[in-house]
This record gives sequence, structure tokens and C-alpha cells, in this order.
Amino acid sequence: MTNLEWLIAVGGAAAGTYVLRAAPFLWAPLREAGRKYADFLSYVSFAIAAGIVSKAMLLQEGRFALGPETYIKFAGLAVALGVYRGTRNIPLALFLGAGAAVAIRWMSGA
Amino acid sequence: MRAGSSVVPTFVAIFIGVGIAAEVAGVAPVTALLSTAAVFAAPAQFAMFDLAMQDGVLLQVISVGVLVNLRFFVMSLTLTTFFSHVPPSRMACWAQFVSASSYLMTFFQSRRDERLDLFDFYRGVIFMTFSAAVVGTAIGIVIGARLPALLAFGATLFLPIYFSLLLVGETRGRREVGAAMIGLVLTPPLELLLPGWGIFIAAVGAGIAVSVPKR
Repeated sequence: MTNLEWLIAVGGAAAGTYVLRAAPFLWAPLREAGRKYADFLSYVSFAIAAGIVSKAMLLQEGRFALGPETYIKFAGLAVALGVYRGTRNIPLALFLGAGAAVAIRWMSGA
Repeated sequence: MRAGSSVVPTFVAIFIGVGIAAEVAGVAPVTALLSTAAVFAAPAQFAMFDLAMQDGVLLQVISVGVLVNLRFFVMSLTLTTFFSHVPPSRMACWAQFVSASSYLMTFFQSRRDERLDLFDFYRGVIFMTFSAAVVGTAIGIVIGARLPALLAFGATLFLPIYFSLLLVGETRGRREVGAAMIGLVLTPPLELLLPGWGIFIAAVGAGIAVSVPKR
């Protein structure tokens, strides 16, 4: 594709995506629907958060990845959850969990 | 902004990938940066670059870019319940930055007792994540695939670990746990079947599954 075509593609995708993002804020009937289905939408929110986690932990480049790297990711997650349980401190748990995974991978050479 | 900084490493890492993918697809650096600023959705940008490399035509590239982003509609719909005090004319600008992170972090913040304006919180998250996305894309364009693998690996862990911690801390009651479990279990296989759609389909299915018995 030429640069002009790419500019048109980016502009088209941006415009279409903007409509999806903005319509619920700008169109009153959709805002009303948001209020009406607030419980349903909150359940969807939990499922999206959980889906992001399992996708990141188990899939790599569109495939199930159950090798050493996956086990290291789970080890890092376990460290984070353990630290969080003991301290209730999210930033500390986050950095120690990710740091532990990086350290394990560096030491194991995986 | 403090909350947003938790996911900055993941955003930088993901958008480094976007910058690299743009380079590989032959997109000019300025256009690649523009795509991050205007589309601000890595999965859609990856899909567009990938399709273009498979000789997709212009209309197909635009369509895939929009369709992959259908999930934003549900996210914005949820956010309307938190921003009911914000005039629509003001939201016309800020809606552009709805992403999984800005939406989920605002959602989880809404469940805490802290007296905090959720719209201010949302804008703080956006400031961090949008900056990280632009910087990440620029780094990806400049350094290409030369990013150390260990650093890239560590950076990609921040988002899933962060959302795991939020889920553990904020999920209450059988229905919320049920929705989270369904999302956790169904998303990977659905992503394999329908790449780019798994999270959205699993989440809507989970919402329906746990809502129906209530009615």
C-alpha cells in the first residue's frame, strides 16, 4: 500500500473506532441502556479483565504456549499474589512478581 | 496517573511491537505514529498491518481495523454510568482514549470507597497510557527487533499481573467470581477459534450466563 492509502486506512479505522467509542457518551438512548444494564456490564468487565489475564498467560502469537516461559509467568504471578496477600500493596506486588519472573528466566536461560 | 503508571511498561512493550509491525509492513514512520495516536488500539493496528502484508485492499484494512475494535462500544457503554456528570460535549474528546486499561482501571476504581472523581482518574490513566503508547511506537520504529528478549518478556507481564491483582482484590460474590471464571477459562480457546474476538465473546457470554439466573 502507498503512503496515501495508509493515511486513508488509518483515517477510516480511526473514524470507525471513534464512533464505537463515542456513541454511548453522545447518544442519550445508549446512555440510558448503560444505566439499565449496569449489572450485566459490570459482569462483562470482570470477564474481560480475567480474559486479558488468561490470554496473556497462556497464548503466544495466537497459539497455546505451555513451555518453560509459561511456567515462569505463572511463578511470577504466584509471587505477586503472595506479596499482595501479605501486604495488600499492588505496586509492590506487581514489581516483585514481574521482577521474580524476569530473574527466574534470566537464571534458567529459558 | 499513579494507577496508570502500573501498566506503562506493558503499554510501551505492546506498542514497541506495533512500531516493529509497522516497519515490517512498510508503513512510513509518521503514519505509524499517526495510527497509534488516531486508532490507539494495538490489536486493530496489528490486524491492519498483517492484512496489508497479505495483499488486503484498502476497504478490507479499514473494516478489520474497525471490527476488531467493536469491544470499545461495550466499554464506553459501561463508562457512561460513571461519567453521567460529564457533559457529552466534553466526552466527545475524551471518548477517543477508551481502551481496555483506561476502562478496566476506572471500573475497578469505582468499586473502592475512596472519594475520587472517576473522570479525573480516567484522564490520569489516559495521560500515562497514551504517552506510553506513542513512546512505545516510536521506540519500535527506531530500534526494530533489537529490544532485548528478557526486557520485552518482563514488560509484557505487567498488564496480566496487574489485572490479576485487581481481580483478586475487587471480585465479590458468586456472580462476579462466576463471570471472572468464565472469562478466564473460555477466552484462550475462543481466541484460538476467532483471533481478536475471544475476549469480547467470552465476556459477553459470561455476562449473559451470570445475569440470566437473576431475572
